[in-house]
Amino acid sequence: MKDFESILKKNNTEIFISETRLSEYPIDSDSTYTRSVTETGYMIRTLKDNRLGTSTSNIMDKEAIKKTAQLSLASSKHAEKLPKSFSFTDTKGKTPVSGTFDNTISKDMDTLSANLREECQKTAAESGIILTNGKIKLTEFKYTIMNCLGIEKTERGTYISAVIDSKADTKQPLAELSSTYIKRTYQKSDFTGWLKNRIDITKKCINPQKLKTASYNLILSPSVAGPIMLDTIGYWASGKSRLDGISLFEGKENKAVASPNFTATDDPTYPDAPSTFSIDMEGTKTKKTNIIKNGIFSNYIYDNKYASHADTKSTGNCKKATFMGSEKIYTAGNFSGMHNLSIDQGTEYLESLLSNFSGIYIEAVGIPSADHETGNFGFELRNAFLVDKGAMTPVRYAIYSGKVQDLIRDTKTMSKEREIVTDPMAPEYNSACITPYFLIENQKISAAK
Amino acid sequence: MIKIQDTDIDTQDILKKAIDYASVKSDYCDIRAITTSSETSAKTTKEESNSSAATFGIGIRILKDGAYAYTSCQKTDLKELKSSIDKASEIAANMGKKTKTKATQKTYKAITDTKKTKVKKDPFEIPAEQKHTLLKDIIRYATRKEIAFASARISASTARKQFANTEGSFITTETTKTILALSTVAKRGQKQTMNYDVYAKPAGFETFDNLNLEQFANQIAKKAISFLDAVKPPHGKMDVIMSPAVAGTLVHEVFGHAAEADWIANSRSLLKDKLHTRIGTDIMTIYDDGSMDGGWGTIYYDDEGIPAKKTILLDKGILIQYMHSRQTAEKLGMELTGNARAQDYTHRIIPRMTNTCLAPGTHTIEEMISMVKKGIVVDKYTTALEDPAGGSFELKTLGGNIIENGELKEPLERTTLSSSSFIDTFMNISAISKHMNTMSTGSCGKGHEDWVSVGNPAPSVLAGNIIVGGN
Repeated sequence: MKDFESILKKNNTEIFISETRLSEYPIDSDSTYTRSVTETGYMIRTLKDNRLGTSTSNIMDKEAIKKTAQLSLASSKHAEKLPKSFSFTDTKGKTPVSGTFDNTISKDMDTLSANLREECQKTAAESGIILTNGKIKLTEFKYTIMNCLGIEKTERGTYISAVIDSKADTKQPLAELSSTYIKRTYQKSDFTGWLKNRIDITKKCINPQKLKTASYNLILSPSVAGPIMLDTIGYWASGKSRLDGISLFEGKENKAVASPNFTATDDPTYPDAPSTFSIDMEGTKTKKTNIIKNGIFSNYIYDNKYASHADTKSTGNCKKATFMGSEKIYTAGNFSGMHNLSIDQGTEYLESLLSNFSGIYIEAVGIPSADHETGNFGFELRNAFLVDKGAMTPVRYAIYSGKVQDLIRDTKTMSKEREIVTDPMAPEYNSACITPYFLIENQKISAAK
Repeated sequence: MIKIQDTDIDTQDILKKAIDYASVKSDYCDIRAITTSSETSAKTTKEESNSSAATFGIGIRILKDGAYAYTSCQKTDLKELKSSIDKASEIAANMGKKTKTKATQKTYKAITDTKKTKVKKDPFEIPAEQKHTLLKDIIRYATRKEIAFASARISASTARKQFANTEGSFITTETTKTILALSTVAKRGQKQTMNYDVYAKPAGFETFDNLNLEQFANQIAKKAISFLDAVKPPHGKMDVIMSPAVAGTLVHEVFGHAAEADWIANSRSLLKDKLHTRIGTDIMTIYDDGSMDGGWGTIYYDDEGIPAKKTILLDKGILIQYMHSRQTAEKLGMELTGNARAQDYTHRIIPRMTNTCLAPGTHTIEEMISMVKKGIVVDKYTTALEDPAGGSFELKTLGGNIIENGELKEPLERTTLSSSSFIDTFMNISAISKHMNTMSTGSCGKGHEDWVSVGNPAPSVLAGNIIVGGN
């Protein structure tokens, strides 16, 4: 830390340091590897003449740190001039560690992840299921932000994540379901309950039927609806897309963008959610922010840079998103992004919705993503069921396409239960969505028949 | 000027000592010391930046008692390396006790070699001012009425890998890549559309010597604006002409992943038990070539120290080979192919594609369009997802046209393609173009992570029975 502190004294500088330790075991019985790695790295941002330079490294010796600081300073020359109101986070003083930290996960990660692998294989075998691919990953992380204005703040936490692909038969093509579990704390019953639920759904996917191209009523699971909400609402509410002039919320402040029963909040305090942090990644205290309230667009979200462009203050939304693995978080650039996008629940449970429903219930799709610029989405149905008054038949080989703007305007109802979903490629740190099931009527499905 | 290559650390002696130590602690060990440097210059309509990154790490893999274990460290310090080896040895032994199927591998001949990308103009020696001037020009060329936003970047990266193993190999490879990317957003009222393109080579700054910047920017911007008038694609099953970029992605996602031998070994691929059977028409030949000159996925040696080579996977429609690591080659009793790869020093080594190529055919694109009564032609891919177990696929594309009675009609913006089985798709490929796209750049994740650079050079293909939907 002394090497970093000497840089802070010389320059108008901010330093982000991340330390990650992870233990990984494969979930299937055929894989014969285990991974136990650590990674520490840092990003130095330097402000000179109101221009912001950036450089990152994981080489921790004095000379490398000095060199990285020099590169950061040099790179500021080629950055745009920020408004005079820009500054690093200036709430001085140290804060105690305050993240969601679970000693059960951190204490002996290799043993716990090995035990979880056995638990998965045992539960699957008892249910007549084969786990074909995936992994159990336990992560302990710490990030520290220091800057020239005197702050030194640290956030610490743990993650338990599991990605499983499971099959219910041995005939080709296989009935397979891919699922992601992500929590900050470990409870055996919660994990086992989730696993049993995924196994039950996998079993129902055997021998899928082909659909006809037609319009259907749809129920979208949280793992389908959540990522497309993050891709679009998260992007359109970001101070960056507002600056770029390509937010589809532009000119819609305090106007209706969704149905009156749709309320979405960025909630960095939500218990056990992936992106629950007391400080953001430049040290600003986080807080809840209303994004859409009863259908009305309310607020954008900002980090320090994009707040200065909008002549406002940071909402504590500095994020670093990475798909290169959570251990390389220090390499990711800063932007104004969602923590946990929380969508308000409806009044009926899924079971009740399904009992009176005729249409398609979509549990999982290929890539649940939507286009930032248009709100359009299209994905292949991977695990879906044709539902007729409670009876469910598995279906596949079809494409559902639509528009997020239509989805949040025309959704008939949402379920009472909600789930936490995130990007399976890098579930730790990144934005998450806490979302109910969505029921929407009369949607076009393009299919094999 | 920003120069960051001098963060390289000479690790050869320490790695050899660490390997000596590991040889008594394991049945096999390999160590990869990886140094990376990168620099990105970026400019958008509103912002400008320059950033650099340097990383170093050592990945240790040990085979002991029938299990592999991976650990890592960030210093070339022998004491720390020994500690990482001890830890790997311990967790491998624990894993081995709990594993019914034991991992084994043969011993191969030791190799000592050094390979390096040919670089004429070191991208790290090019002043940042010059890169930013180029970016300003390209943003200016792209900016016009109805272009609301443009974003361009130039990135250069160098990765130096030093590989040592208990067989006595010591291999050094150094790869340099240079990229120019541009995306534009067109806007008319509340309607927005996007178009992008990438110009990149595994080379230095000479990559851009013959690039007409104005033409490059102009094409991207014009296309984005043309999407404002695009129509939605028709729905249902139909003929689809896939451009080289889309066809290359199709081959990579649906066939390539299913032919990675770890999926075969654990019975998760539709191609299991399909060796020496027909899974495509006789005009289809697919090969993977990690030794290809100038390929985006060219690796020289894989991450297990095995030389990369050309491997024919599908020969005139007949499946003849899979892509292997040491472990899968041993398990399935097949020849090594040099396809074992890892994202970096903290990630595992598994069978991966390098440059997966579909061989060219005999048709012109005009002939192919004339063969379609009702269908579409698609230009570029945006995202794609494999399904080796189920055999279907999801391919999202950008640009193209509707085809009616052999003629191009209305322009398309975004389309989603799928199929009930890629084998059905391959059996319905009726024409392949003479023209082949050789500059193919991609980054591929497997399952949910493990990203590596890949190339998918391909010609255009005409495929029937594709499910088409909007996006």
